Amino acid sequence: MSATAHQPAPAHPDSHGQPHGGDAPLMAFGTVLNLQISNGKVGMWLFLASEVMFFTGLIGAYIILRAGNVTWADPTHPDYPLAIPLTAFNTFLLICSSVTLVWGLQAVQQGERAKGNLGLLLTTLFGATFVGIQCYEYYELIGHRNMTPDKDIMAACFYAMTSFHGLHVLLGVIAMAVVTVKGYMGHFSPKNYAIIEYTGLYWHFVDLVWIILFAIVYLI
Amino acid sequence: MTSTTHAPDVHDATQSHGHALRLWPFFLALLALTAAEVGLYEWWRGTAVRVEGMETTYAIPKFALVLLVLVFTLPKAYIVLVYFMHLRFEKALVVWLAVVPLMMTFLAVLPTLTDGLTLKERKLHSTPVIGEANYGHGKTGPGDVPDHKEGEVNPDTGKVKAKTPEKSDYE
Repeated sequence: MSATAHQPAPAHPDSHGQPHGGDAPLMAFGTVLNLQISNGKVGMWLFLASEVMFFTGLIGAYIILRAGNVTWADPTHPDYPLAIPLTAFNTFLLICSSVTLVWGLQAVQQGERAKGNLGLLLTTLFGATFVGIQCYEYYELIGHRNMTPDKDIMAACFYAMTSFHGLHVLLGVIAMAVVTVKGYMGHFSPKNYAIIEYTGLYWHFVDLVWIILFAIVYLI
Repeated sequence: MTSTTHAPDVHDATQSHGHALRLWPFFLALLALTAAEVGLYEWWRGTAVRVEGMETTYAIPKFALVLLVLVFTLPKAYIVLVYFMHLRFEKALVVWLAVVPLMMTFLAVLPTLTDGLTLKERKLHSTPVIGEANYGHGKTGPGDVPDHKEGEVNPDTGKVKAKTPEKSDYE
């Protein structure tokens, strides 16, 4: 490492057109290609691209198994296990959490710290409620409606997809909780909100996946 | 990081403060689309006519419900992806990072979907018994039928029970 390597990273990537000696490997993407996209954002989108492929595997397998199966649970049958109203409410919660996150991020960008922190807190609470309702749904399905994961192909697909999504939501709630705490500790400002943005990308992705899962698992 | 001090997080030069979204229209749109697709599903379910031993019939066929639900789902996904995830205001590289996996999703699922549909057709016609309707899973009529061996003549009907195919990995 050269003596010039220990320079603080500039606030705006366009303030330096050329890579600094020791910072070049870290700022390489944003400077060598001169794309002015932060490494964190590219990294998060790359991660989300891998998550898209992950859920593609699950959803694709579900679609093919469903299309190839002669019998599937009849939604008009009295013993149909899935509770659509409860899950619709859960979908509403997740949508609200995405809206409060965008609201909170915009507030932070405009210097309204209290609003920003409230938005982050509401997002975390909505997400935690979603996870709680999902757990309650599993309890009802397994305990009272006898829909265990090994019951049939429909149950296996249902639990595979919703549990992996639920795990992603849980991790997102933990991340949002950390970001919320950092927000209340005053870490964010109109010039320093990238962490909220990157976590928000992950959260909106989780919401996006649920929008699709809700439609194809519960409604179709 | 090479810096020993805590540097502020870098934010994009593309992140303009003029891109503040008006959230209420998007929130109401998402709410309305969700309510519409749930309402559509509940209505469709309510039109069911169930006859014992026969396939349940509905006011509109299943594939029509699938298309209509997708009509409501895709705009929701678009709103979240383009506006909430800020894809509309991003550089082309980020847009490609988001779009290419989605395109690969279709490439991965659609060709094998025809395989699944063919499989269903083969299963539906897996136990051909001349003169009797096939209700799937080897059933030959409403209610249970006595289990007699393949190749044997059924004394009640005088017909020979056809061989059932081997179970595939899909069951």
